[in-house]
Amino acid sequence: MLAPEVKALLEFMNSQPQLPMANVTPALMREGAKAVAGKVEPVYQVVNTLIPIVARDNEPGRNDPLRARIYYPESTGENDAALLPAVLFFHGGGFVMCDLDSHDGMCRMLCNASKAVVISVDYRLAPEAQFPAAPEDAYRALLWLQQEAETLGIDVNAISVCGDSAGANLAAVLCLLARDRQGPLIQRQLLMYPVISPSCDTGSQHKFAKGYFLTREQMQWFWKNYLGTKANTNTPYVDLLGAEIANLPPAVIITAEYDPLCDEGRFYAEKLKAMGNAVEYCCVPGQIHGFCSFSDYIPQGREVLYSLFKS
Amino acid sequence: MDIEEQQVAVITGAASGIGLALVEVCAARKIRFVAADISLPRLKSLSHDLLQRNIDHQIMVCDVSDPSQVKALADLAYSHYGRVNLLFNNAGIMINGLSWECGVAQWQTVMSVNFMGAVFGIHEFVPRMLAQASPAHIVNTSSLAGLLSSPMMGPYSASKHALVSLSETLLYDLQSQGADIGVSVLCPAQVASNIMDLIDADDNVLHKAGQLNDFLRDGIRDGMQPCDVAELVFDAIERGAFWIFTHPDFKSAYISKAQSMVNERNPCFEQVICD
Repeated sequence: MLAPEVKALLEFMNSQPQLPMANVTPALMREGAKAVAGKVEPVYQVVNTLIPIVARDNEPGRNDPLRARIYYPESTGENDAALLPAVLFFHGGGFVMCDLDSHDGMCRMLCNASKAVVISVDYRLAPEAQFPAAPEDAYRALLWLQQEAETLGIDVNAISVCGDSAGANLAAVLCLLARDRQGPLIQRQLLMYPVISPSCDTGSQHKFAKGYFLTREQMQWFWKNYLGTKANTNTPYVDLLGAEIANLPPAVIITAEYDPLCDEGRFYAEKLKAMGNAVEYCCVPGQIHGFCSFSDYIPQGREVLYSLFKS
Repeated sequence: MDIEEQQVAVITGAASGIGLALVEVCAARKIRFVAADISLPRLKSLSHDLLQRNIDHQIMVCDVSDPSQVKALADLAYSHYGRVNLLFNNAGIMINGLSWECGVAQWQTVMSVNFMGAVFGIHEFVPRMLAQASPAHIVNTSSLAGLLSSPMMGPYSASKHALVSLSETLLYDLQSQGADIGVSVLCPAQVASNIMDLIDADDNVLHKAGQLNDFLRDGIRDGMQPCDVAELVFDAIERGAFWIFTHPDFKSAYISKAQSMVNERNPCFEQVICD
C-alpha cells in the first residue's frame, strides 16, 4: 500500500497539467527540476571547486573542468587532522536534468548521515553531451579524488560512490570502469533506486508505468536523450543487466515498491549477489521513485538515507 | 558607489594578505561575499573562522589563470546571490629574476595569474553587472610595480603595468557606455602579506634574485598592515576614486620617470624607499 503522505503527494502531482512527452524538451524538463529555496540543513563546511582533469570521451565539454561541491560533515570540526571517508555522489535526473543545486539538500543529508566528506559532481548532461560523457566525468572525478585525497582530508582507502536514479546508474557504471581500468579502489557502491537497463521492459516498468511520479514513457525519453543515435549502446556501461559484474565493490541497493525501476534494481542486486559480490538489498514498501528527494513531505527519505550508513 | 549591507562581493586571492583583509572588511560591513583562492586548506580554515561568526559567505577553489574557472566563479556568485556589487581582482603572485633568466613558463604563469586573471574576471562579470539592477565597482590589485619598473622584477612589474593600463581602459570603456560600474586600481607598495612565501616554495632557482627577494621580504614584513590597505580600498570605492595608493611618497620617482620620457632622457633606476 502507498504510504499516506506519498498518496497525497501523488494526488497533487497527478492533478498538475502534464505535457505529452512528444512536446517535452530538455529545457522544459530542467526548468521543472530547478532547486527551490528553502530551509538548508547545516553541514560543517561547503567548498566549491573544479576538477581540471580532461575526460576521455569525444563529447562536447570534455576539456572543461568539472564543477564539484564538497560537503564536510558537522563532525569534522572536532578532529581536524583525521582523514575522513568520502562519498562521491552523482545526482539523478534522467541524465538530462538536475545539478549541484537541485541535490544540495540531499548531499547535506548524506553528509551528516555518513559523517563522510560528500563530493557532488556536476557531470555533463544529455542530450548536449551524450553517453559516454557522464560516466567519463564520473571516472575523472574519481581519479581526481584519489589524487587530491590528502589535500581534501580524505582517506583514499575509504571512497564510496553513491547516486540516486540516473546518478546511481553512473555510480554503478563507475565501479565497472574502475575495475576494468584498474583504477582507484572503491570501498562501496550505494545505489538509490538505480536506473539499470534501457530496455524498460520489466514487470514494474509496466505495472507502475503511469501515475507514480516517474513514468515509463519519461524513462524511455531519458534513455533516448542519453544514448542518442550515434553511441554504441551495446556496451556493459549502458545496460548493467548485460554486464559482466564479478569483482565489484560491496553494494547497498535501495528500491521503492511503487517505482517503474523497482524490478531492474532488484534484478541487479540479485545478479551482483549471484556473481559473488557482497550485496545488501532493500525494497522500501509504500514508496515511489525519488522519495529521498521529497524529505519535506516524505520523512522516510531521511531514515533511509541514514540507514545506508548504519551497517 | 555607496556601500550597503547585503551587497555582494567576489574576492580572488581571498585567503591571505590583502584579499583576506578585504574579506574582513566585507564581514564587518555585512556584505555577503564569495571568497575564491587557489588553496583549499587556506580557504577551509578561513571558512571555519567565518562560520563561527555566522558570516554569510561562499568559498570556491579557483585558479584565476583558467578562464573556465573564473566563469564558474561568476556562475556561483550569480546563482547564489543573484548579483555582484564588488569585484576584487586581487589574486597575484611574484616571480623575480633577470628578464632572460626567468623561464618562459614563469613569465606565462605570472602574466596569466596577475593580468589575465583580471581580464577573465572582467570578461565574466562586467556583462552580468551591466544586466543587474544594482551598481557595481571593480578593484584591480596592481602594485607600485605597476607604475615604476625595477631590475629583476620583469614578470611581476610587466603584469602589474598591464593591469594599470587595463584598469584605465576599463574605466574609459564603462564611461563611454554610461555604465553604473566604477573602477579603481590599487597600487600598494610594501604590504605585510605572504606573497614572498610563495616565492620560497616555487622559485628558488632564480638565486640571483635572492638579494632582491631578501630586500623585498624585509620591506614586506615591515610593510603596511593589510587591514589598513583594505580600509583605503573601501574608502576609495565610496569616493569613486580610481587611484588607490598606500605610500604616496613614490610620486617623486614617478615624476622623474615622466620627466625622463618628456625630456627623452634615458631612464635611470632609483630605489624607492617608502615609509
